[in-house]
Amino acid sequence: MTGRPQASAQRPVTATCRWRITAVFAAWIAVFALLGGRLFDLQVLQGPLLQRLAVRQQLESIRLPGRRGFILDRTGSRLAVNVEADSIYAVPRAIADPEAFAREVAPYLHLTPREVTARFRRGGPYFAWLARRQPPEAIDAVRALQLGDAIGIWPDTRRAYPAGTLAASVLGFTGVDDAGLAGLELQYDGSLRGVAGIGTANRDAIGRELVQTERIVSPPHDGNTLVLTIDQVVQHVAERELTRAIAGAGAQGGVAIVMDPQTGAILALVTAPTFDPNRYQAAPPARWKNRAVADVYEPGSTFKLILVAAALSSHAVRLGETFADPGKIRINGATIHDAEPPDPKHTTLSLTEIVKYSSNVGAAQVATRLGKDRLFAYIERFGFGRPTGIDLPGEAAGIIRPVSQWYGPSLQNIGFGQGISVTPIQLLVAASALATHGVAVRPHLVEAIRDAAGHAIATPGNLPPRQVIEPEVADQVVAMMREVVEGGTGVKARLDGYAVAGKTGTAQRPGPFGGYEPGMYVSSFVGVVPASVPRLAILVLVDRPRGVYFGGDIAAPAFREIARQVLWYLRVPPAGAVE
Amino acid sequence: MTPAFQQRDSSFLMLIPEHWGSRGKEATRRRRRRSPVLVVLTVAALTVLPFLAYIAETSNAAHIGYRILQLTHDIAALESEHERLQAIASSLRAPDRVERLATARLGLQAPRAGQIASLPLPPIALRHASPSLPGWWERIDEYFHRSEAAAAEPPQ
Repeated sequence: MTGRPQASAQRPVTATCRWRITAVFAAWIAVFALLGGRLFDLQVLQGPLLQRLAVRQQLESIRLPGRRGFILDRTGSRLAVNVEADSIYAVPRAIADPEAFAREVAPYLHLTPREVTARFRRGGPYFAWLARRQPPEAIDAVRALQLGDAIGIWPDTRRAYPAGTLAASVLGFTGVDDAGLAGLELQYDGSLRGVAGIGTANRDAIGRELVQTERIVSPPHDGNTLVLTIDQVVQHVAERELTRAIAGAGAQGGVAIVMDPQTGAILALVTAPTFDPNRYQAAPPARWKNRAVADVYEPGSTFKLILVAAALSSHAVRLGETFADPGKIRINGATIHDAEPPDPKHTTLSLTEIVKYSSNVGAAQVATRLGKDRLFAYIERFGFGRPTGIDLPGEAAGIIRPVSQWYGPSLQNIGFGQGISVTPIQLLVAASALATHGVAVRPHLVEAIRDAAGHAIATPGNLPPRQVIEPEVADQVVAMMREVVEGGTGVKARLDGYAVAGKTGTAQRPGPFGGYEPGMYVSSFVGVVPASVPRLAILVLVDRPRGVYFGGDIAAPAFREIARQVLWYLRVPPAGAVE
Repeated sequence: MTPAFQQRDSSFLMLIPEHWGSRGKEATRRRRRRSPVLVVLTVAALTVLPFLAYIAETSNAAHIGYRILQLTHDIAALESEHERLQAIASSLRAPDRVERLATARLGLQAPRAGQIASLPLPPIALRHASPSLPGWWERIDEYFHRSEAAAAEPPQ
């Protein structure tokens, strides 16, 4: 381009221009100096402080939940699960008008404004629980209020028992912090409880977690799952029949246990009255206790099984030996009489007939022949006086006084089950040992513990059985138990098609201040079925029935109904089956 | 030759190499082609490009992170819903409820004594009933129907 002014390129730099250039340069230098100074201030002088602030603002600590393990019955049905139930908290510092806030929030939490205000005061300025583990509807309603920073939702879960009251005393329940407080929830709390993990992650400007910056400090672990020996159908049958028996007798409570005598697996364990573990606070604490393992009672005539087993095993009495039964007898200053008036046809009784007709007089004579030391030794061999080791908390050992404290007619009384206290589970284990040729199993409720991946990591009930009495003696006692059901006091337990072996029991209830409560009894029946190859050992105990109180009338029919339905459910064919 | 070239040629001083040969001609040609602006832009682009790539990667990672976060929340919500439904299903299958409905609504009754019979199989039937290996068609059929069979009856 020829038109470009050649002179401009060669124009001399004037003083003004130089001044301007210097000024601009100085300004640049000044700006950069300021920026550099500020940079030095931020990076060096205030660096550590600002770094801490930035970490506090950007770095978030994440709680990685570890869920509590499930409890399943032996068929895999869920008996205890977790459901979402978030908790609601308030930030009192962010609430301008606490009274108005309380009035606004209270209806959705089923609280009064005064209660909401009280909960504010219990917490600190930045955090106060308002309501723990609320249903989703309540959470949604509170969210809809749009109270901003004044309120927060804490993700949480709640333990739920879908079958309601079913096996409540076995399962137990958990508290507000997911800790087991009763039953298997307490016994296996260490296995069931999940361990929450901790992680860190950066947050963006609006508080969202930046996943790519997430670091797991300690990983979470879900709790293990318990697979029970309980079968919810068997449990339901036992609960229904025990409830009917209690209602029919006007009784105050009862216990029913169904066990596999070959393995010790408890198929059903019922205590009545029961409670709903979903709302355990609504029931009196006395109901939370599992009476089948934690309560002791005088076993009454069911204990005669132990007496005759001991007498035969120690050869103190021969099988065919007979004893006179005048209806009452005076031993060591006490008069012992039979529960029912003497039958003129049975003035002398064999050992089998003592069991069959539940003769106290005959049992007292057998006990006298046996002696204190030998009877005590056999009582211990059958496991009385110490816990069976069943996997439930609070198991009682029973009350067996040492021989040195057996005064007066104690020996004879203990022979027919008075003056001694046992737990229902102890008696069932002892009776089932007779049915399995003298082998006592360890009762257990947990078949397996599975980890979160489903692998079995423990089988708590897999313990070796122990021989408590000679097999031939056990068989002889079982034959006597069959006589009880065929024509003795337990005929109401007879079941068509199945050989039932059992024993009735009717014991007086000890009073709180010594002696016995007048008119108060414990009716019981313990038996096995089928007697030849037992599949079920069942104990039914009814506490304080009104009117008729004999075990053969109150507990034996309940035993029969439970056995009949459970045998059908388990597909155990009757012996004399119809073709 | 353009006039501009002529002017520039006459305005600037040039160092003439001592050996004016073929190398000198080529260097002159190269110098003529290389524009300083282009060089600066190229250097700047090459300098900035890795940073741009880094920012793009970081932004993309953040975007995917948000998506993962959203999906994680969705999974948690679905798991929670699954557990809630499992709890409801378990409560619906509770034996007490099933029995109540069966007796009250459907009028069913529990089997009474004598209504249950065990049918012993004669020896010939037992021989016929001996297990045989299923064919491939039975295996396929079993695969598709086993879940229903398992749901129909609890394992004994």
